[in-house]
Amino acid sequence: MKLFPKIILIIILVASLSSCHKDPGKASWDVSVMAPLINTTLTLNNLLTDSLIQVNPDTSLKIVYNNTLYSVSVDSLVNIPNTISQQAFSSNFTLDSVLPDSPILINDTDKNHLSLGDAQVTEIIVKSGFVNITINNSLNDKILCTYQIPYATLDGVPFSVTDYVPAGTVSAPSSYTVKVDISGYKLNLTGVHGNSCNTLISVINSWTDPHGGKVSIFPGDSLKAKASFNGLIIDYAKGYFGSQSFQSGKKDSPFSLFSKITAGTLKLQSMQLTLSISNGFGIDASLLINELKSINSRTGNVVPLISPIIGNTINITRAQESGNASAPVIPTSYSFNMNSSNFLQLINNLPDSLEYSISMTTDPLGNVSAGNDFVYNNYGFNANLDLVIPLSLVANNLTLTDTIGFNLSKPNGYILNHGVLTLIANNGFPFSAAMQLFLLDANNRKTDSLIVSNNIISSPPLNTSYKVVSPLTSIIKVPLSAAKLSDLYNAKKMIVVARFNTAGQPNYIKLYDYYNLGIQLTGDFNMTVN
Amino acid sequence: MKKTFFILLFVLLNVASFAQLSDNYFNYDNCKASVGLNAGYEFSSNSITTKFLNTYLYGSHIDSLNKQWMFACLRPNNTLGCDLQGGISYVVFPDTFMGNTNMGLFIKYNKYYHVDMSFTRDLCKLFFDGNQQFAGETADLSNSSLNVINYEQIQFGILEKFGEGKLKHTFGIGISLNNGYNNTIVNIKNGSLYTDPNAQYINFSANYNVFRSDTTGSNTAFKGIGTSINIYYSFETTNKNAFEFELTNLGFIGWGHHGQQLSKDTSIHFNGINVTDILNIQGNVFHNANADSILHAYTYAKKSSPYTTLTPACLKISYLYHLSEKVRMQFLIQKYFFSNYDPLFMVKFMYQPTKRNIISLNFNYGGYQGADVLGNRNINTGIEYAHDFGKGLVMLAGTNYLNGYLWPYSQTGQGIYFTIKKYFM
Repeated sequence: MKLFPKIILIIILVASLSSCHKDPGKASWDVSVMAPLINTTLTLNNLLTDSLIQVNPDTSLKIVYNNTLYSVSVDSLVNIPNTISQQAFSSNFTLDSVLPDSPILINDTDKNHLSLGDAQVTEIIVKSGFVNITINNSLNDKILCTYQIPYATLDGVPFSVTDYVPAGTVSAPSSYTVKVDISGYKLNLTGVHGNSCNTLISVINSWTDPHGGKVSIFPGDSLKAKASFNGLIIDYAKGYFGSQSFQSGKKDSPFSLFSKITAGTLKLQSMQLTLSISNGFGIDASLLINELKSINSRTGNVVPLISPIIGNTINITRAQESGNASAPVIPTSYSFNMNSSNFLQLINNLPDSLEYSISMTTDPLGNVSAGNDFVYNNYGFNANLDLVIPLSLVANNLTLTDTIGFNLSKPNGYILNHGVLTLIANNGFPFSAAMQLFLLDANNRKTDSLIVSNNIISSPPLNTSYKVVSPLTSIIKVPLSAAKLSDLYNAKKMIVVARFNTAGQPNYIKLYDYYNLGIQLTGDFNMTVN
Repeated sequence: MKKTFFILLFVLLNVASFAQLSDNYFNYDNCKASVGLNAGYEFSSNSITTKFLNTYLYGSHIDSLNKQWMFACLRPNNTLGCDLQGGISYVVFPDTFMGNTNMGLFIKYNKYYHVDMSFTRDLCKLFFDGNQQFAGETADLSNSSLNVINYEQIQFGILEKFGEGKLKHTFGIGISLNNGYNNTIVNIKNGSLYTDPNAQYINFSANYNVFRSDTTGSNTAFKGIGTSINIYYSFETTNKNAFEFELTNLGFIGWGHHGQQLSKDTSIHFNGINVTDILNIQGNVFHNANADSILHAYTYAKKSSPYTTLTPACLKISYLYHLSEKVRMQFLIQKYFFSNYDPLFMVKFMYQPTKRNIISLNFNYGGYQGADVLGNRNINTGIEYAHDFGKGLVMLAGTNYLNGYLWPYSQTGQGIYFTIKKYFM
């Protein structure tokens, strides 16, 4: 009997300690949760880049697609060499007790004739860039140096750098380097007398230290100075830039408008293609388009453009200066309508790139402006293909495929076991869409497919004008098993495949700016919470 | 003047859980001092089964069967209460104290953790089973509440024995200083959640208020302070029959300037996170839609403001009647105020087979399980064992919820208590 109370006591103590061990925060249980997840509205502006879509007066839409075919910038036309000057002096005699602040070694003016081919440049304004100056000194005393480009001015003040160069030895000269910003500087390249071109004058002077003692110079002592441009970008240049010839060779220009189409056909009721040329250089030019081809790499179809502009030289006159600082150039523009060409074949090929070969010659007649050609940084030469497509179309199993980055992290506080995602689509577009989603792992291997059946967003009914009467709701269920959820968490990319068929075929259907697709994603999940 | 001050001090300073004074089963009436250690816990509900609660508390997985058993016990309105408490006490009866030979003094340290809640059947099923079952229906969340209070107290008090002959009276009074650790009070006056059959939207409306103690700092930092009073009276006849009246923890805790009060009458229509351009989502659109951030948005006030809560006060009235030398019977009524605790009625039979052992059996009804005769027909059975080790060392242990341990899937209460006490003669 005496043992009994002790046993009771032990049981109670153990039970009490166990009670202290309780941790309600760790309990878990399964719940079935239904909730709306995402609510959004898709318009054509979401599907195509905003700037591509324009609204016609009747609220129908058109795509305006600009494709830059060929361009020449200022950097290609005017290429200034980096080296400004290289000056050196080496002593072959002895000078004792040179007083402080005495000119020594280099006091020199350099007239560098820039190597610009047959160009004759008289003036440059620098948009951005630097002058790098390096001076090596083998004297045992520091010296004072001044480097100047007297005809490079900013607000009328010449470019000038003055600084001490530390002492060195013959075997180990000291090195002084400085990097000076010359943004905004105006470079006069006409030389001392103002009648030359491509000429950059620089001056370097050196003195013994004004605050030092007497200096001795021995044979072998030297001073070397080098100045060069670094990252020079021209804002403006004037002169004659030579008769230069630019050959593009065979080049591919990406044509992204149809790049996501991977199957099916798209018939467009009408379209316009225009070649527009803009010359922002104050230089005459001639352009020759040797060839232009539409390439569909998916089908392998290649359609060459047959047009009067192919193989015929186009003469382009120079731009004019406006005198307005904010818009200093009035470019010359040319527009060539392609109506008399086979451009419909070109576009209906649904190209993903355009192949071209273009030649361009500047100042084909020589220096006809007597050195008054000009270039401004933001004004170049451009040849664009402008495509206008009114969105009146027939799509037949038109399949768009896109690969998007995807990274779904596991949630904190609960575990999704399985469930169903429901896509509720309120379709206001006059076409049906079949959706399919594929998951890719880190090695771009398909690991799973999310929608396998009943994946159609149906087209709403149309009236006699082939306009949507009212949106139609379709529901797509996406069952998510535990295995699919695991694949979702591991997926790194997702391929979205959408197959479109316009309603009312074979009639063309216009798309209006008020059409949209309302999408709501809801979830019905079994999850474990803790 | 000094004498008056000490009398007033001990009258005002309060003490004692007098339960430990009334467990004097082994006739140590004339002890000069005693030191005791006591602890106990009680979880009780009118619907939440013991099995379910233990699974939750022990951090295990609550399986479907466990939930279904619990759901079967749910009522339209449910209550759940939890009290964990423990303490140490010291009582001394000096030969004379300010000229009084019948006066005792005591000091006691207690810790309390009290939770009580009321909730609808729908709220419980929503929490533990999700809202799918309510598709196309409205879940009723009205008249639900939660009160969590965690505090410790230091108690001081006096006992005065008086009366000779047939009746011996004991009167005690004390005051405690309460230090609050944390407090959360949620009252949902009206609340509902509607789930669209296709989950296209959820409508939530609620009129509720939230009180919360300072949320900064650790859970062991003092965030509130208050006081409470304890009153005790008993009389005992010559044949040891005794009447006891006990009112404990009648007081309050003020939760300081960093407390929070929030009242909201809100209605939310949620039809998903609006995404402007679903084809160009940057980052995780659900990043700011997790449960913690929603909870924070709707249950945290932007400004702090102090508030005061009443501590759950306990009234206990009992009568002990000796049927014979070895058999006693006790009638007890107990009520916790300021909580969802109905009066508890208890009948206890005590049998003392030997001088040093007492075995008790009790039947109790009410408390957190409710005292609604029409709604609650559950009578709990309890057992208790007391043992005198000799030399003044006494142990008392028991439970009022034997049913809960025997039939955990259907019974809704559990709890044990024990006391170890050393009497100095």
